[in-house]
Amino acid sequence: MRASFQLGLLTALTLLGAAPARAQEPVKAPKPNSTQLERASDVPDPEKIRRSNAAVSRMRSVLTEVLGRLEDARATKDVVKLNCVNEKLTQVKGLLRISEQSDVALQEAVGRKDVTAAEHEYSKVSIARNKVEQLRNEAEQCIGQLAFRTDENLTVEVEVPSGLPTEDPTNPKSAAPPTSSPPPASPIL
Amino acid sequence: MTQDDSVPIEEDPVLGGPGRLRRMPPHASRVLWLGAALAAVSVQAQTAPVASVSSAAGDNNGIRFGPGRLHPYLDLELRYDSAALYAPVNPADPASALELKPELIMHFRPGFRFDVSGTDTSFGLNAFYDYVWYTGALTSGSADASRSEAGADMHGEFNREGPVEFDVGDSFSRNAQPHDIGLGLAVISLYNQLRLTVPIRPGGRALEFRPHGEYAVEFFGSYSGLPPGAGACPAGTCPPTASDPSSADYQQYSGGLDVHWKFLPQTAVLFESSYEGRSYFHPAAGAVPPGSLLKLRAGMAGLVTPKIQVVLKAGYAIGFSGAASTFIFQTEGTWLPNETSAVTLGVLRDVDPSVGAASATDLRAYLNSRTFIIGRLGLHLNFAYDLISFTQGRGQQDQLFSIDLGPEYAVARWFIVGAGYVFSKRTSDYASSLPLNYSRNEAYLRLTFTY
Repeated sequence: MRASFQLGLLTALTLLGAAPARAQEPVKAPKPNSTQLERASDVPDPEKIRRSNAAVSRMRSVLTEVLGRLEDARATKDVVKLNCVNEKLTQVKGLLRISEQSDVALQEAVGRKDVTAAEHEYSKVSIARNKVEQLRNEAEQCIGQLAFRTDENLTVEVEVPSGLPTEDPTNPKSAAPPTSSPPPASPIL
Repeated sequence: MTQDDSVPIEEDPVLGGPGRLRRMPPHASRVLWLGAALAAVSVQAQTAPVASVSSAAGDNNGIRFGPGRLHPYLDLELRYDSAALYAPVNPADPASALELKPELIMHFRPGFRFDVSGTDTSFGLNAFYDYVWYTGALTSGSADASRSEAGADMHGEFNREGPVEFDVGDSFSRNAQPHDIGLGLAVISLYNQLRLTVPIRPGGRALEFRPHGEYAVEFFGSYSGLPPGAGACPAGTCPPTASDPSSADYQQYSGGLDVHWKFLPQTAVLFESSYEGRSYFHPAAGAVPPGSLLKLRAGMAGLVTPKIQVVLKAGYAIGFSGAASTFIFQTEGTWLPNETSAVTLGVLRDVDPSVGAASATDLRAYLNSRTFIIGRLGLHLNFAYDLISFTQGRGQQDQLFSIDLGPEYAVARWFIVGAGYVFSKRTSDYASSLPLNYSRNEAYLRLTFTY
């Protein structure tokens, strides 16, 4: 029951991530490695455990990367970029949590010699790893507010005419009243 | 007037000299101290933003002094003045008719300039002492007209980047060129003006409110005797005794609100308002009471093309206490052919309080041009014509004409040579008043040493 619920959640997260990913026009994400799923039965149990551990480690490092991008967006107070990265981060966190649980379940299944359960848990980790890689690419392509409002290739050139007065021409000095210096005259001369 | 009635023309090369200070009214010393204290406070206030002051000044000449640069300088000027003074036609007879006499006059003008430049705060102080020496080379006895002059100008702008700026300025001068055009004889003027402005720029700084206030005082000391041959003096413009012109000492206050709105980065529409009032410290009996004025103007100022700058203002001055109520305006155009050249042509009509009258209306046409070529040579040409109409009191018209041209050449960064020619002429309806009717030709050679 729990396993089917987690698989449903994984599917939901995958579908949820697909829609905004299309909106951002990401690069084409690699399709889930169906070959790897089909051949899960061919992977020896010890190799399943090793690959599962490596996948979880990789997903943790991706989480750290995306967290860094989130901090950058927050520091620049770029709301558009912040929302975009935060959305990816939420999905990565969910996938990582599921993968960690599946990794434990995989080890338990191998210990019980339950082949079906082991292959099921291994498949979940594999799918999650691929999806996290896709989310990482999408997080990298989250564009900022400025870029969102203008074209990324837009350049602005401001031409200032030469010879403009250095003083503020809108605030001219008041004209001083006229002055005169009458010649002196003295009876002592 | 007898010999005993006369006041000796200043001989003390020290600023005013002890005797000079004794003769000054008590307000004079207060003004001096106020100016000095204000300058000191302003300098101290600049200590704080040392870290924020731009280091651009560091590349220039001058002595590093706190946050700014101190530039000492010395001007040596030899000037020929065809109307240096009136002297008796017959030197042996002081009571004989007077005539204008020429003289060679030397100026020894040490001073300093202190600049603190910054984006948020700036400060400047320029001060000098000037000993004016009548050499006696062309007119015997003229050395008695030698005198001490001085001048200082200070300005400070604080929080220029903020929404509320605070500007303060102070101008001080002591010379033989009074700021009031109405006075009918030669005097020594001691003048100080304090200016305060608080530019307020809400929002994007395109709209600017500029409440401002000014307070000025001017004290007059005796410099010239008034022998009978000097002619009649317009009513109210000469003191009862020429030895005591202090009856014209005045204080003038003004304040108002200006509003500028930059509808383009370099062009703004503006509205200006100011109220100007004056009072005399100890007026002579029967003196014309001073008028006061409320001036309202509107117009525009700024660049209309990258090469043409204009000032167009028009309005009305409402006179009180006998001052003129009349239209006032300023129309000025400046052509800027390059970064170091400018030619300004303008017409101005304005009203100001004046000694001996409730007000004086000035209609002026002027041309100012300057250029700086080959990096070292500067040329200037200035022309002005003023038609001054006095109201209630003197009730006559004076005309002033002046033209000033000459080159300046920077031989080295620390040595500048300047020369020029100045012609000035004043005529008055009071044709019999010699101090108000004269023509003057001046030629000068000036050496400036600066660091």
